[in-house]
Amino acid sequence: MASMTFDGIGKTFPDGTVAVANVSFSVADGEFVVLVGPSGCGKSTLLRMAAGLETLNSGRLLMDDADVTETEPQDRDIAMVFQNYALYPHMSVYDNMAFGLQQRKMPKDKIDKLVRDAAEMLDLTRYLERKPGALSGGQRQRVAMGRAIVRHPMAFLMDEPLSNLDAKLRVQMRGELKLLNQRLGVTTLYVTHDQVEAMTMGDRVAVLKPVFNGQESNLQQIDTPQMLYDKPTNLFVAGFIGSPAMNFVRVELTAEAGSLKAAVTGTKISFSIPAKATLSAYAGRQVIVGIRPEMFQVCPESEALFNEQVPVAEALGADTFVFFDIASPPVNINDAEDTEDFPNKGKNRLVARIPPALTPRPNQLLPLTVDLEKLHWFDPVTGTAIRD
Amino acid sequence: MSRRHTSFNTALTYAAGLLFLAIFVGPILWFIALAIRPAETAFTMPPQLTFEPNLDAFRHILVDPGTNAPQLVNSLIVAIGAVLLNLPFSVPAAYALSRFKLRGKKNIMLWYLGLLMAPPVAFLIPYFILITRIGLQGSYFSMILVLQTLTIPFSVWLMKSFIDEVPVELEEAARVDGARWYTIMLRITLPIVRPGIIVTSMFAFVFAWNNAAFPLVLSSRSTATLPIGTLGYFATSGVTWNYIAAAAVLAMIPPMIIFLVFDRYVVRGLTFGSVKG
Repeated sequence: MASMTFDGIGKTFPDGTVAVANVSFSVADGEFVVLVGPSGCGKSTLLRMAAGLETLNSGRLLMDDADVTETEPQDRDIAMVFQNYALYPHMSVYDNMAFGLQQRKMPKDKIDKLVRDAAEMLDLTRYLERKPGALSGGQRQRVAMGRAIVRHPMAFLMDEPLSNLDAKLRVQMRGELKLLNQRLGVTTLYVTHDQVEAMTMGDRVAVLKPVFNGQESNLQQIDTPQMLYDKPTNLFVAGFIGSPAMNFVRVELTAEAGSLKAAVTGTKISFSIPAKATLSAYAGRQVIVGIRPEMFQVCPESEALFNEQVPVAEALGADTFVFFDIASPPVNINDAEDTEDFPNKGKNRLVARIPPALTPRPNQLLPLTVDLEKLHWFDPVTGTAIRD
Repeated sequence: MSRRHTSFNTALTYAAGLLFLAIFVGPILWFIALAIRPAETAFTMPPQLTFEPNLDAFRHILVDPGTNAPQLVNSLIVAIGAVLLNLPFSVPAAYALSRFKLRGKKNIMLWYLGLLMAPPVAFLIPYFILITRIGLQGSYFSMILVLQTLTIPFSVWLMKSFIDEVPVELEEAARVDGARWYTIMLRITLPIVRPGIIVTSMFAFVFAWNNAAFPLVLSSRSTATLPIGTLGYFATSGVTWNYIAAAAVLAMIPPMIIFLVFDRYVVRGLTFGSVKG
């Protein structure tokens, strides 16, 4: 087992595409860290760098304080689980799991014991003589896991290992993987594009986004799932974590005696909040407010902040998600800089989570208020969170 | 209406099938007939469809001293030798061209293609001089060696396409598992492309088997292959068509046996991309 440190990692492909830039973070010994982000955010490239399958142009990679930047994958003592499992099709399950141990010149009886123990743990004993082609998707996934754990490596690297499974099996395997990690206590770096998977599995989650030049960094925030949800550092993280995503609304801030008045851009909606030091500095300017869907509450019409028609309601049983439009310019979270001059047209669609009993009829007006204390505030130019 | 339409289509399909069969199998059948009919009826006009079959021509080419039986053995030695010399070079070369970052990789592949497209006749004289200089003329090895100029380029192209089909992740998994490139090649990639190796061997065999140009200048009387023997019947004293036909029929048998035995590998080899593990 080992810790892992990414120190100023950068990778530019020969055609000039910047895949990874300025990524620095550490994974503690035994920690389960998830890399999450949309496609093209460099998460798989980072994982492949950790495996040694991809070279890096700048920065260092440390394992237990030893520099492994130039070390071949063969010599890193890590195990990797691939998205398509990459099982050796011509070998039995047993040989698939034994292959890595054989490469380490381990005695046969020891290999046999390790393989059988791992098979037992993963409920694969019955399938040891089968070829991967004769297994179901879930079984293949377990064999891929078995091939990794049988070696007792210093770290596990997992590249979207559950994405080829059907939804039900994925949820089940998610739990099993997490249990397995807790039981084995092996340092794990896990890549996914599914933020639910990231939130449920990671001790900490690193949110990455695509970069376009070497000055930016892919890494937006690395923190516990709850912290990412409660205190996102910027618009990108706020918009990426949470399902349905956080709502963003542009407001004009003006200072009043002891308070700040926020008027929703393009509408007559406005509200007041107690003056706060950092936010007060934005008085007279536009800022972006983030509202999680569960921060809305259905209220009497007299107290309503929003009172809009609801064209779409999604009843999920335990909750209902209602969608409504306000006549305010939408916020594009992917490039915050460009949006300030966004033409003042179009509608901003918001989503609120309400109890099913209060589900409105189609196109009925729904009076909603918001817990103003919990609002997230963002700088419209840099996208960073404004917090006291 | 629609049923009638279907049966018309079926009839058309069968008609097309029969036409192709006639084009491909017709000449073979005609040659077999030529081998077993009396020599003097070979080119009678109109063609004589009935005749008394005899095996005189086969008896002559196989049993009579100094004819084709030893040449059949020579052909087998040369063709099998060509395959055995071919694989240890073409398979690793194809692997390297498929997997490694090599400078001028494209040029190498084009160079191979050029070798394949060049007429063998163009090489005959240089090879003859070269082989004579190093004292190999008339040996089996000289033919086996020179045939590689045809079989290796073809085999490398064919093998590379098979190896390209093997997902790189498998090799990456093996690298992470601690295997070096030679272990990966021998224990992961080559076993997976085994159908491809068999198909490549078959093609190399048939290439060598059918080749007449190189043995024509490189073989001696005792190492001459079957195509040379067949050419020998075009004598100044007249063309003995039944002997030629019998020798040609004989020459068809080994490749046919090979294709029948390895039939399933051919199918698997040619549909390789669709059966990924």
